[in-house]
Amino acid sequence: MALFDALAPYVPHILLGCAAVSLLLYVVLDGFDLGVGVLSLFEPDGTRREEMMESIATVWDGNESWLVMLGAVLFAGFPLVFGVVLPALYIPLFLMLFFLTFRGIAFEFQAQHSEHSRLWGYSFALGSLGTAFFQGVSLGAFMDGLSFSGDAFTGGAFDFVSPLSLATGLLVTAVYVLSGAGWLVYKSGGELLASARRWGRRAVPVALVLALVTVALSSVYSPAAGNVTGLTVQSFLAFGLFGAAGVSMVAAYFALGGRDDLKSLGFAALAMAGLVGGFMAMIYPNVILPGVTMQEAVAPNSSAGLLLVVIVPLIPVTMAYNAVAYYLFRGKTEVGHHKKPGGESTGTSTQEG
Amino acid sequence: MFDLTMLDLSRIQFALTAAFHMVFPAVTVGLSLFLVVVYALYMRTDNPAYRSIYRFFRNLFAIGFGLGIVSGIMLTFQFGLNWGPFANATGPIVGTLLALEVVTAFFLEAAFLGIMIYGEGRFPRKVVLFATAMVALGAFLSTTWIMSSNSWMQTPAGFDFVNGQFVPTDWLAVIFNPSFPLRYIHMVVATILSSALLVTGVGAWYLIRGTHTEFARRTFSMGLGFLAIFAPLELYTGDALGQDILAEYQPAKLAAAEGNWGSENTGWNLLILPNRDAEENTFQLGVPFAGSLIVNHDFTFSEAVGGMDEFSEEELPPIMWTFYGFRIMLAAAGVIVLLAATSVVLRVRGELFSARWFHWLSMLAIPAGVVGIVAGWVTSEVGRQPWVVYGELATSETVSNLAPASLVFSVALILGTYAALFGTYVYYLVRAMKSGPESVSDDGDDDFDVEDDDLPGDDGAFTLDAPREYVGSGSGGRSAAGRAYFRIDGAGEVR
Repeated sequence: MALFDALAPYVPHILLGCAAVSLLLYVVLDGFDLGVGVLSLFEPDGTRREEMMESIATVWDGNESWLVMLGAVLFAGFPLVFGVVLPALYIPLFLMLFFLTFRGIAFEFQAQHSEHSRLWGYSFALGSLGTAFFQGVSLGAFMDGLSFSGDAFTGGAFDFVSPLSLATGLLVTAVYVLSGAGWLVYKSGGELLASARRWGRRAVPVALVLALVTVALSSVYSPAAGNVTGLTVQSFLAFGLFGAAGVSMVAAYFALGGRDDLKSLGFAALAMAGLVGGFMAMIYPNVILPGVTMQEAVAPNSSAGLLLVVIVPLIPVTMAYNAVAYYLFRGKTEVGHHKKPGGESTGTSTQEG
Repeated sequence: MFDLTMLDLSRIQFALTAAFHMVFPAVTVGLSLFLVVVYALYMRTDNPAYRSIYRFFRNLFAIGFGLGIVSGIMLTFQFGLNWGPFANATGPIVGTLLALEVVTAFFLEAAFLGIMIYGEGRFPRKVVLFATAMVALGAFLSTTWIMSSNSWMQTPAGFDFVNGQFVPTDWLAVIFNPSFPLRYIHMVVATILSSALLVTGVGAWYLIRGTHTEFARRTFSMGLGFLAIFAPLELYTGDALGQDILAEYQPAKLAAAEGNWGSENTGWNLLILPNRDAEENTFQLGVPFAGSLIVNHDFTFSEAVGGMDEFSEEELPPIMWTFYGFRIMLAAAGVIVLLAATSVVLRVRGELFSARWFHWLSMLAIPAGVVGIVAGWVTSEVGRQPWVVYGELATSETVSNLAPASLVFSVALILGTYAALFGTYVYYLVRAMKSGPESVSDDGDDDFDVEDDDLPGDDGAFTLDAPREYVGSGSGGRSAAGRAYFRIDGAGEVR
């Protein structure tokens, strides 16, 4: 208990850290598989569309779990945030969940209803697109600030529509596409690999422009803008991370054509982490905009205690066995092909860049 | 009648989501255990019949699991979306238990599901068994935390109410709240029963058709075995729940479930048409003396059942839902117990595989478990009204302030989507039964096999051209063996 008492003043930071880690892992991990889904919309060939789905079939479920983790950590650690932000973003979040539903079931039904594979292919592709876009819209609407009093949302249903939220919607979709292309470069071969390289390169300039627009809009209109004006450590950190995200996108562009099939995925992940980190640095120490800090919204200590003792230590354990699952299915996906554990099959991967 | 409030709409939406979600854990939690048993039997005996059973039900499991996950995510976020003030008030307790579920169960299932479904043939059998066991463990842990937090809402304990929030003071009291142990066992056994009914019913279908005989005999016998073992336990825990928990902690729910206004009826009501304003039933049909026995365990048949007039109008839950939810659950339980008891008789007489009428009954009884579970939840959740946290927090105080139009929109969208998905799920179940399991006599050995993979010419290189034909892929060109092989059929059939 002595340890816990010593930790008590840092409880909000630790819980916020858990939420941040969940969000970061969610965006980086589910980002690429949502991106694969969006890309499948532009893939005319049925075999390749199935190959795209198959490349993420073993991992999407675990990736998506980080979204639930984020929800649960907020619900438990910052109940006020869960209770105010969700009703405020009702329409975009509800639509996000709706699209997520269609995307999720597409995997199972696609595998079982082979004769309806077109239908489930669309369900997967449009579901991914809608999920990605409305996640971005929710981010932008959050950055715009919410109207609430006490513990209840008081604004209107369409408050979420704004130039910033539309821009973030597009931005998130674009970076997910970039990351999805990076994943396909790592996982596929032949035609699909070539097409992934092409689409990834198209996504980079779009994402860069949208990132610039988003950062500009939020530093003008967001209630968090005040945090990053002037030469403070916070503004240095936020804009540093945004800058790093931009550099990573450019690096991803070149890596898409390079010989190392894992590099572009890595740079895309860095770009997403930079963007997420930049926005988090901008908002800190608030958890609702405008103006509710983490200390004001944090759950009582007796509740945080259990979170600290049980949940925090379990997060690395969880990450470890999810990593093992990734490792077991490493290497290129072989469609309809029987394969050995491990990824001996590097195949034709590096020739067509 | 169409004068719905925001509270009504949010409740309808939550009920729809919860009822839809519940169908899938109802089948998959029990099925996960069955799969572990079957795969372990396969490893022990090397009998391909068990492998064929494993693959067939693993596919049913996968699809049910997927639907359960996506509807479960929707449910989790609805706590905040539609019930913002509820989330703020109960977050420190319900949110924490949910977070425990995510780190102990959700990730476990998600990580090992891929290995369980796609790993057969790629990894040694031990790894597949381990993954299957981990998925089952995840499913049971998940049930544990969900039942703990729901039971806490039914019989709250171990907290203080400070500044509009439930603040835990004693975690052991929160987790092991008064109704948790019984409700937990009751729920786990219920999912085992409903999965066993599915397994039994599939076996019965093939016995009737005279196909897949070995598969059919084994599944039919195993399913009925599970039923015979667990049905009595379900009756016992259900009865104890009413006697010990409801009578003490939620008497208004018990009274509504029995449907008597006054306290002189010793009968047990079958049908009622309650009139809340006049505090009487405009119509009532019951079995004389049975109430005394069933509710009070009174063997003199003279002790009357407690009535609803002991409670004020505000304390009573919606009567029709509570009463008929309870009746439907009991009817489902009756079917299950009857089936289990008959199976024991037939087994002893050696007629299990020849009594055709019983095969038909077993097949028709497939939905009984799911119907019973959903009806049970209706009784339990509607019966808790007007409270969301019993005796502490009224449901009407916890609804989000949303624009009516967006609520109508979301309810309609959920209703349409879930109806379509449920239809697709049932269609798939029927189709999977029709196309059948892979043939047991096929010698397609799909186990991890080094020699097999080192065949000359198979350098493991990435190719898209005609994949190796699958020996064990069953009849009719469509493989029931597993999702990993679907692509082959897909390549052959679709394009």
